[in-house]
Amino acid sequence: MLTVLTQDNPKAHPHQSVSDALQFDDASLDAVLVADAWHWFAVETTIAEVRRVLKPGGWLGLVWNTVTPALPWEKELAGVDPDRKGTPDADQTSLPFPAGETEYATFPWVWEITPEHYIANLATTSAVLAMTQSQRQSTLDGARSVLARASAERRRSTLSFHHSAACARWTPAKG
Amino acid sequence: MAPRAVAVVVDDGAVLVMHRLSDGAAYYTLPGGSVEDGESIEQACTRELHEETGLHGRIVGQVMTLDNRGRTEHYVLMTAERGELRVGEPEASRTSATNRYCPMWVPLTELADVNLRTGRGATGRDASPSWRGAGHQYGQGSDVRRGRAGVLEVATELSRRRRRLVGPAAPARVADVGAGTGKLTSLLVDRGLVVEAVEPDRGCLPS
Repeated sequence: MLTVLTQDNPKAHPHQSVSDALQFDDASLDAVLVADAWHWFAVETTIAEVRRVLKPGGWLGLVWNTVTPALPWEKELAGVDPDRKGTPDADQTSLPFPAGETEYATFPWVWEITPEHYIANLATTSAVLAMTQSQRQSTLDGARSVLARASAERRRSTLSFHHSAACARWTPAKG
Repeated sequence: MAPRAVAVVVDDGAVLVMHRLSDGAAYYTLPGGSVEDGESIEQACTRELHEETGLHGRIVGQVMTLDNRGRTEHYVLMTAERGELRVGEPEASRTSATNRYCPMWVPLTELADVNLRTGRGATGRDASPSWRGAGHQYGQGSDVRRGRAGVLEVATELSRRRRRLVGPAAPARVADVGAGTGKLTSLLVDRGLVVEAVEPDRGCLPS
């Protein structure tokens, strides 16, 4: 994954490590951001690491994206896509941050991508990877046909995929 | 016929629109509705915005007046608190299989391409956006822009001015932890941030 990331984002500085052993100096970052990945982390040790690397006043931002079908073709696609991003909803009650230091917000957003891009992304989701080859083939073909019809109607190379981002921001108290 | 108050809301380069399905036709409109008895245009706009999208808005100022097949439309520039978009009443009750209301943000760069229905400047009516609302001396376009083009001009100008007011992001240093293939990473890089991308999985491609 890191290799793909580096190829696509030559300006980013890549670091191969887990979340509870970050390779950054104490108080060296303005923000630590985690998109659709918090559920993979060892929570207690990660929080200790985040505290260590954040500058005073810095914050930890967590985001969980979910698909929110708005147009008829998006709803049809949701029936085909077994994954629906595959991430748990932000269960705010289960987050271990003090209420007074934590903010929550949800933002609707649109992912504007080509059908090919969507299919390539769908093919890498854990739900699709876990399928047998014939299941996978039929799922991807089903999604392709929905997208082909939607593109033809819209007469554009890209489609708008409506999403919602549930966010939490923890700003550890200073000192 | 009561005039219509129309909200032009722009945030982060996107315009708030209502996607409509009505008797088999699919199109976009801007949020808005009839000015009720005793209401000001600004009050009607604020009410309609909340009814149709769930967002609470604030008035920036009126920018233009158009004629939509005999009905006067007042276009009002607004800012809105960010939040979840949802259709309220009376639209929610009017929703059926053939009549739907879906509020959404459409990127400014696409607004010209979508089927956006707006009014038009009537003959003799100056439909050029005026940027003098709410004490903002925005200057005035000398071209008479009408309907859709006027909305686009208003939205583009507002977006540009907002960006200038907010200013460029400070070159903060942030870590994207569990970065995967870098979907968030690329957004952060595009914002001019110094991005440390952390990912345990190197992947099998040659580096």
